[in-house]
Amino acid sequence: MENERLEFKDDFIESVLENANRKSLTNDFERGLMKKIHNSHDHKKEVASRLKKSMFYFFIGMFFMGTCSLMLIFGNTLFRSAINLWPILILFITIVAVIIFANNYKRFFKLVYPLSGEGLLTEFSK
Amino acid sequence: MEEIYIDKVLSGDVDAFTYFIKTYKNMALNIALSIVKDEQYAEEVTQDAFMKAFHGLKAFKRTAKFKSWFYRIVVNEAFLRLRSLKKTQTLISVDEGDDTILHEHFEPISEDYNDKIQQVLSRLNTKESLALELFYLQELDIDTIMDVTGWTRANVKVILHRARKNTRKIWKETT
Repeated sequence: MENERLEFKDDFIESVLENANRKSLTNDFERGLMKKIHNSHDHKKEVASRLKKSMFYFFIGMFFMGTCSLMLIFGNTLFRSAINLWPILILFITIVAVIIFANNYKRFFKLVYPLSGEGLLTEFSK
Repeated sequence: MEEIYIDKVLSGDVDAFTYFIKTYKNMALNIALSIVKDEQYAEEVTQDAFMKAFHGLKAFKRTAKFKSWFYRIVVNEAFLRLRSLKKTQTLISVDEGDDTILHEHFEPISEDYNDKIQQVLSRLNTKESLALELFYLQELDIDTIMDVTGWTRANVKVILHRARKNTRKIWKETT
């Protein structure tokens, strides 16, 4: 490695480069950049959390919907004592889960594609 | 030392990234400047490179040095910017019927010595000025330059030779 440095040793070039003006950035750059990094980090975190929530509620919804269907099919024999209250309760939980899923997914979609739908709206408003 | 800050950033301490900005901002700016040859664009490239480094820190393999990994990001960003600038420039010059490319627009050489040096460096080809910047100013060895630029050893040596030759040539032309 030292040999390579010696191979390219050039006093003229070194003196020229030493005298070249080195540019430097101010503290404002640092502050601005950190602000940008913070914003993008928060944005990324929110996107991840919205996606996680929507996936969670999607599976909850699917699970309860499946349970509800099974109960409707086998309800007569297995859950006779429950006076058909379980399917209604589960259907209610499913609807709540679906609403939460839809809300989170909508917010997630808006975060990922902030300008989506704007074109459509302007098209319709024309 | 850097390992500690990398771990901090990865564990969610965003402010720890300030250490990298403080340490590398000026070096990154000068590397970007040697490629794009415009201070404003170089600043934008530096900013984009830091953003990419922050978001890609998880992918950073500890076997390599942070410095060379980050410099590679800066160099890639700068070349990307240069390519898009050249495209825009070509579009403009086609419209205007002018086929000159970006770094061929030179201002007349001034008498001031420092300005002269600056102008000589700005007239060098991008690869040559990048090689000079990395080898003589950042004092990187040839292996690290190979990592940063993706050039082969022979390529680095040829570019360095050419850079020295052309610097002398342009220097003579301007005196």
